[in-house]
Amino acid sequence: MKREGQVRIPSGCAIAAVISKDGNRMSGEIIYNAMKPMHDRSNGLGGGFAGYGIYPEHRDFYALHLFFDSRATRKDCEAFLKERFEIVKSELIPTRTIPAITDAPILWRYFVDPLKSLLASRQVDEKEFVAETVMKINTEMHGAYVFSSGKNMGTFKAVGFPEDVGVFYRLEEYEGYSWTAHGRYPTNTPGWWGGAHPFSLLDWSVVHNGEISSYDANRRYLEMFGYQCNLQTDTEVITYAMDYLLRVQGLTLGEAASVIAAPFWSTIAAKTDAADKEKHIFLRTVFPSLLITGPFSIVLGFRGGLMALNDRLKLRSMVVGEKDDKVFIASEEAAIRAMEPDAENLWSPAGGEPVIVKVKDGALQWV
Amino acid sequence: MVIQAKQLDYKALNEALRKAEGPCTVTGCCGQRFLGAGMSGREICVDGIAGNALGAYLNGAVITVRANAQDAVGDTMNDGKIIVHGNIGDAAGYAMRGGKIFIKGNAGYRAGIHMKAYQDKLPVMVIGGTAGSFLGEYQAGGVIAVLGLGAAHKAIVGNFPCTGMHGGKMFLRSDCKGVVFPSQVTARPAEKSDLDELASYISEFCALFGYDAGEVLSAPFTVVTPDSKNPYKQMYVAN
Repeated sequence: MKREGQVRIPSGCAIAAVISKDGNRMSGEIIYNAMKPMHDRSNGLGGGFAGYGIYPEHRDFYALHLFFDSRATRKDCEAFLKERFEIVKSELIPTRTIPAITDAPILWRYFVDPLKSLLASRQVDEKEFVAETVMKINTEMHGAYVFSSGKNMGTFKAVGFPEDVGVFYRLEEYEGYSWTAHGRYPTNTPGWWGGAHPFSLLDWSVVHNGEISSYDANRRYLEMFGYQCNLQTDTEVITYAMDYLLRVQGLTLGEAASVIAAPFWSTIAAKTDAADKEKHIFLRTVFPSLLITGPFSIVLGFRGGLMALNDRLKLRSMVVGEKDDKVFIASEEAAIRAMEPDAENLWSPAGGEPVIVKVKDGALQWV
Repeated sequence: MVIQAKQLDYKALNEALRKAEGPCTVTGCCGQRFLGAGMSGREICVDGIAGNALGAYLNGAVITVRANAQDAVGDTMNDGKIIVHGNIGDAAGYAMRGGKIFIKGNAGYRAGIHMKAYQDKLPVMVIGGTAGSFLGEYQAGGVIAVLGLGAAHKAIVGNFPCTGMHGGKMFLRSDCKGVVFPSQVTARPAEKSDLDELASYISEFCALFGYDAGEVLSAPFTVVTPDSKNPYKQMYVAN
């Protein structure tokens, strides 16, 4: 079978997310049930989830989730990991055998701590080191793929409908303070496990509905900074763009949103707030190659929060709702009602208008 | 007849609607698509969230939704009526060429995109609240009215209204100060003849949702029409 990166088939998709601003943890069942009313937005070629706060007992370690094509690949990769990390725990990712999900690769997770001596000799910080390692495995180690590499968070994805993928990964057994979900309708790539969403690097995860037209421009720019896009999948490049802007460049979430979904020059010119105008001119001038064009609606997951964003023309749907301590985001209102029938204050953010929801200060120390 | 939608996917639900005779109420709807698609001569009432493409290709049926509806309400509708008591998503009335859509609340982006008219058919969309950006994008015919009721300080329409508009008419219940229209359309204050044309649609809207038509019509309206019958003349070549 041809894999991601070897063939391009010219997506409808479904996304959903929930977060508790009080940091209350919710079973993963809530998020896979949210995907059921949006079943027809996917075609069974990919579903996935990211949960934050799910590994409290190992919260100080990077949780690496990997796909392996064979036992031999796993052994090789483990040997490589041991040269770089202290492996605190190594185990199969628990799954349930169900008819809807077949041809699973070997699914393994490691809780790891980067070797301090290596960090010192390489003079890189921990996150950079982990990101480099992920890139190295995904680019150079055939048959091995890291699909999750954050702390106290995890991505779970497969080929199948999202509601089945959730059952397959036994998500009801995890509890997180935030969850994101994706149902895939691949249009450019054949639909391999690695190509399902969320795409994640370190604590960032991205679920995306859309079809961006700036993929190659964005990819070529990011390659200059060591990001290797291996799967020709739009979402991969968005994830790396967010890591570069937020972690490497230190932009705020709002600024990063203004880079990737920059307003039109005419809209900027019409701004009356001089400081705001200047900021947008600055961001568009410094990061023109990270402007993402074409339709997208995304939810970015990160430690302690979520950010939802539409492309500036709003060529994809997105609805936000609230109830008590929870905020819900989805491609369709029906998905929000599936999570919370009495959700309130439903609204559709405008194109390019980020919706940023964070766990309250104080609550975060527990997550 | 009452159809419980809870355990039905969109195919089964529409099949049940087609089999049923007389007026139908769908309860517990949660995002099922294509409700009433292509139907004529029917009355359908929906409780819950109507899914995408509600009343697509509608051909004379009357659909009432008591809550919100999602994207693409009345896609390519030919005749009939869609009444939504809440808000709707993006791209409502996409390419509709006949019938009426009445929305009590707000519409998302691109309401009335590519709306057209055909022979004696004249589609009408009335949005009670506000509309998102690209309202009436590529509008080629028909009537779009946005009333801004209860909008307070919110702009009646988002950015880039009437982009590519080359037919039909738009009414905005506002003086539209600060709204930037493209160069190929003319926006002017409504005259009495314009309001006379609008009055029957507003009366119908007000009767449905309990507003006073006289009061609604007493505010200033802006009328937007394309400048010529062929705004694309010489855009590429002389034609």
